[in-house]
Amino acid sequence: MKALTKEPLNVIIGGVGGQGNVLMAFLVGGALVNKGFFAGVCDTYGTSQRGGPVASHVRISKKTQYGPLISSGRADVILALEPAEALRLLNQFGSQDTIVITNSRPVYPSDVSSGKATYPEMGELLQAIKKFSAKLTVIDGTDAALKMGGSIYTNIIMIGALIGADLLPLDRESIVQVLADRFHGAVLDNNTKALDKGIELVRQ
Amino acid sequence: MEATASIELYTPQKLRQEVIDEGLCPFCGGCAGGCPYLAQYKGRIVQLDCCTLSEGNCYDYCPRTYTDMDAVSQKIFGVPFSGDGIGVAREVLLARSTDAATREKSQDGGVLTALLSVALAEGIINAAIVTGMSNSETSAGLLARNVVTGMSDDKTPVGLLARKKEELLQCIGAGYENTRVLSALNSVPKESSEKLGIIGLPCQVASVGKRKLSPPQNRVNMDNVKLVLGLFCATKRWLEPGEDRQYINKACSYCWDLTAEFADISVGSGRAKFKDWNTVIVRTKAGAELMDIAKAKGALETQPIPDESLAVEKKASLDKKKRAVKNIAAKTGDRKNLLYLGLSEAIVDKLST
Amino acid sequence: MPGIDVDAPGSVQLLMGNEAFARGALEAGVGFAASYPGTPASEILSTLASVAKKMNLHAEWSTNEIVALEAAAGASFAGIPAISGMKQNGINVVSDFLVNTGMTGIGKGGLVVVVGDDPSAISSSNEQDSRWICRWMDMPLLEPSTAQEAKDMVKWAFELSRELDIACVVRETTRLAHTRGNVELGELPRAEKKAYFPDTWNMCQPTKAKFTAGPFGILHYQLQQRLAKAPAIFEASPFNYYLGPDKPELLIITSGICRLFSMEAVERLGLQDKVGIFKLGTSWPLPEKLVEKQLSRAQKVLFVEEINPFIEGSVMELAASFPATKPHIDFYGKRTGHMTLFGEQNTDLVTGAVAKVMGITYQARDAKYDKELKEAAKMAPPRSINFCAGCPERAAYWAIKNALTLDGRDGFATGDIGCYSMGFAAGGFFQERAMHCMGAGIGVANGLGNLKQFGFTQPVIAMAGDSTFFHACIPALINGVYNQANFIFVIFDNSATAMTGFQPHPGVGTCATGEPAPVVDMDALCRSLGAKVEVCDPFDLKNSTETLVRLLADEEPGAKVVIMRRVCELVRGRREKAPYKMHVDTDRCVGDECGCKRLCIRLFGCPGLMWDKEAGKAKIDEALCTGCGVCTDICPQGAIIKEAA
Repeated sequence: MKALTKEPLNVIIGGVGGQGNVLMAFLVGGALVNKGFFAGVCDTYGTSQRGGPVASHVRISKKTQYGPLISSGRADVILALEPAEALRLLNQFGSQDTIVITNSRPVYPSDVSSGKATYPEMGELLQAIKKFSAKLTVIDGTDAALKMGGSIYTNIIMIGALIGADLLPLDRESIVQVLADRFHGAVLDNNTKALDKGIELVRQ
Repeated sequence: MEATASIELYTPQKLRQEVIDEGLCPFCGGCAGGCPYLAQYKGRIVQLDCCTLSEGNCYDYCPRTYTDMDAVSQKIFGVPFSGDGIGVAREVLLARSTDAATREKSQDGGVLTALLSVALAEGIINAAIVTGMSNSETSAGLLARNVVTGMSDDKTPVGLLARKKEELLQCIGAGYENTRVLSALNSVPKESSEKLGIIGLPCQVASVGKRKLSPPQNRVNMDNVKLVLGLFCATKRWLEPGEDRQYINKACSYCWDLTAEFADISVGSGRAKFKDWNTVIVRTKAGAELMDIAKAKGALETQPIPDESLAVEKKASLDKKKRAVKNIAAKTGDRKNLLYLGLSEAIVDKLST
Repeated sequence: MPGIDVDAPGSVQLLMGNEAFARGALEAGVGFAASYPGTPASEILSTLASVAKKMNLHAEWSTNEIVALEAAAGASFAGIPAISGMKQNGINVVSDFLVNTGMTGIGKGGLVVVVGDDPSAISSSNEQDSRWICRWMDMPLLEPSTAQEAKDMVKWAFELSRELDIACVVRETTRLAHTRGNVELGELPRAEKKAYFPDTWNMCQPTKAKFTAGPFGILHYQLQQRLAKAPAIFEASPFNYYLGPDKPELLIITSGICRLFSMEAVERLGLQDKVGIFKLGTSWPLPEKLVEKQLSRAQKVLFVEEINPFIEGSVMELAASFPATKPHIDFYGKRTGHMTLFGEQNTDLVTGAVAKVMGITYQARDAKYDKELKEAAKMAPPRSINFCAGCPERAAYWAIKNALTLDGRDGFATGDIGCYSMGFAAGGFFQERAMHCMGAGIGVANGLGNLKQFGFTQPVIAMAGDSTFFHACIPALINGVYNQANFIFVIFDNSATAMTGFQPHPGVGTCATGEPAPVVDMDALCRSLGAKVEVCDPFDLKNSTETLVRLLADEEPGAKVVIMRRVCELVRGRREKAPYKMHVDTDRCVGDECGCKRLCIRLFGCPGLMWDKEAGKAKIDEALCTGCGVCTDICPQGAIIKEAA
């Protein structure tokens, strides 16, 4: 069984409301409990649903239940479904030791469309994330999902990336197990393919 | 909360402050239509929201914001603004439609309808912009995208493009509600290649003149406006004994233009003496050409205008100019500040006597 | 959702606090659950409803919180264990009934009230600390600090409630409600539930019924006597415990989720041998002997709790009663400014407070890194709150905005609680000019609509949603008819209680368990109350605006109701595919120029519309557009094209 690299290990899964990150955190948390860990999963939602930033904090421990909300500077891993959110989360919870994996596809808020705010140039944004973290990996999750048939697969692909990066005490099978608890038939097959795609992408 | 510019005014607000709130707005409709921020509604120009532009068509084409009279006159006639009686006039005459049905529907001689019918039939124009009072969809098609209000019922005027004589007849003579013509013009898309004719009151014709002087970038191509027919301002016509001032928009006391001096042809009532006729002032080459065709096609019968009648028109027109200068100067307290009227000092002196 | 009804004692599941409450209720043999949706407590009822049939319990969404609690209490009177979960505002709504259950007792079933406070008012109109109601109305108060405790406490709360014959209040906060943690499951009971109301009229020996409150001051005394049994029970409760050195330098007294923050704060500062944590799970009444014992451990005490100095106050009251011979204690907390009086707590804040008390400097992370990253992070754009793509309420607000502006008499709209509450912001064009609690929109309109004698001429539009209508608005509408207040009442009927998670309500036709339910006809109800009722489709902007303009100008007195009816887009989108395929004709789009200035994006603000920077034109965001077609009618140039999908 994979060992826990830190005690507790703090993972943030974040993005924009509607991208499915609550499901992602739930699957990861469920897999951890199955492996005998204490998992704390805190989702922010509510008014965040309507296009606002959302994040799920996942606390992983062998010893005890940790509280919700990772504190400033204590995020070990940030998995982001949206690059500007990766930077926002890094600022709120990250440190120079944080490992960041982010999806490449930006989601423009109406603040940008209306002209009130600007979305940064992608190179500059990724440069900033890289500068203030230990390591940055960019995954073309949405592109891969669209090739698979729909952007709906993005979040499972990103979980794959998280697993494939070997940062969590979880292997592929542990996620397949929780997927099988929830999905069946063709949907399960497609989600498993998405998982494997993510593992492949992060290891490239 | 949102921050709004406190120092600089956005265009519709400038318009409101300088024109509407100052009591200068003649309700010509030049600012509305094609713009979702201004709507004409129940005798008011209503600002529906804030466009945040500091420059815009509404302000530029308003006949009551600064108007360089010489420049407009040069553009249309090739001569500076004279300030004389009835403005530039190649010919003044009396005329009326030869078609009884037309005359039946019209206030006076039906000359406008006759001219437009001829212009349509001869292909000088493909569509005439008029005001109708019917429900939104007619065979002429509703162009005025007053969609932010989307309001039209049979009590509300709407701008229409009439492409056939029958459609014209539905609209002409419907009263002096001419207010939706410019909003319809504003809504004509840039890529339209239809040749257009417009009927307007003097303030509306002045607004068209400002458009010709500095054409809009993203709207109707002003080169397609082939014909501008002006109406003599009818405020006086609404006066019946005892019904003195209620039909007059207060803003009209600041207006200089009785006979729509920037039109190709201006048409007014024949007055009591020539009840069934129209007084017609032909001003431009295009106007003259149309008159010739109309006469040649037998759509119009004409007669010379008696000197006394012409003198009456000239005096009335000059008096209105003088009254405007006087009223504006009284409003500003400064003879040199005539608000929207950009006149040379010589002309101001002439009109101040 | 995990199997909340799984019959596998000893197994571990990852449950959120609300699900754990539900599981605890099941393990206690709950038979009746009634609630009104409210963040952060909504999932308690929906979880129970999902297993209601299988677990032989009645679970319902009630019209509002007070009906829910009354219904639950009725069940408890008849011997059925009952639970009602609600958000903080629900406690305000039920307070009159709650205080009277103190007078009468709650019967043999057992009555548990779970209240979800929302520190920082993340999803609420206000921030409040609901715990005071227990001091105020003499009820026992429990505060769980993990999902496991949530389950165990609720299970115990039923027993406690029966033993004391008082409703037992369990208080959670948002972070506990929505945080998943490991929960070891207990046993599910097999006992049959039999309902019978025991206190019927005995004609030969008639007596006052137990369940009647009344003008008897002695009932309050009797309540106090019953509650007085609690401290002794609490002294032995496993929900109160101390972890740390015997004689720490600093004693933290904490409750709820703050225990986890405190634990982690101490760990971060490496002060495990200097700081001890006493976690109070039974927060009212205080187990005074136990608390006194803890206070004797240290001369410095820091209180860590959410929102108000509730425990801080009651413990200090206790300490004030100690004889002067006891060693002096320095108390730190909200009174001293070490903890904030508003906003939610977190590990960082607690760490800062502990460090301050202990006189050590604490920096969450390197100052230079922090400063530079803060600066760089400014490039991430804000994501302002907005209605969903295709939301009918956005269209309704557009009509309201234009109607009021066209009317030109300085009219305004008063609002209420729901998705449409967002009308106070850009998403609803800032049209909502007043907003307070459920039913307040039409409530204040009743006042504003009766000021004619003072020269008031501004037209008033009151707004409420469909679920809010059933919850709170009917009395105010009756008042408007009866007292002849002049206003237009707009009901946003999107066939859901959308903001809290699309729960059904009496107008929808399904109940909490998903089964068909009778429909209460909103239109007929308003008409029968004497109001003039019109129904509009908010997507028909022309008709909606015209209707409102006409009614605004209508001088005839009497209540006017406009029902803006169209199903919530998120609900519709799950059932059907998009009706239209949208695209922007870039030749017609005028974009930033005069005649538009990005109206569709800048003002109308639907997330389905975006700006193509290179082209300088609007564009449909295909990932977000729901194909509703409304923007076709918004574009002044007719540049947005809709084609039947």
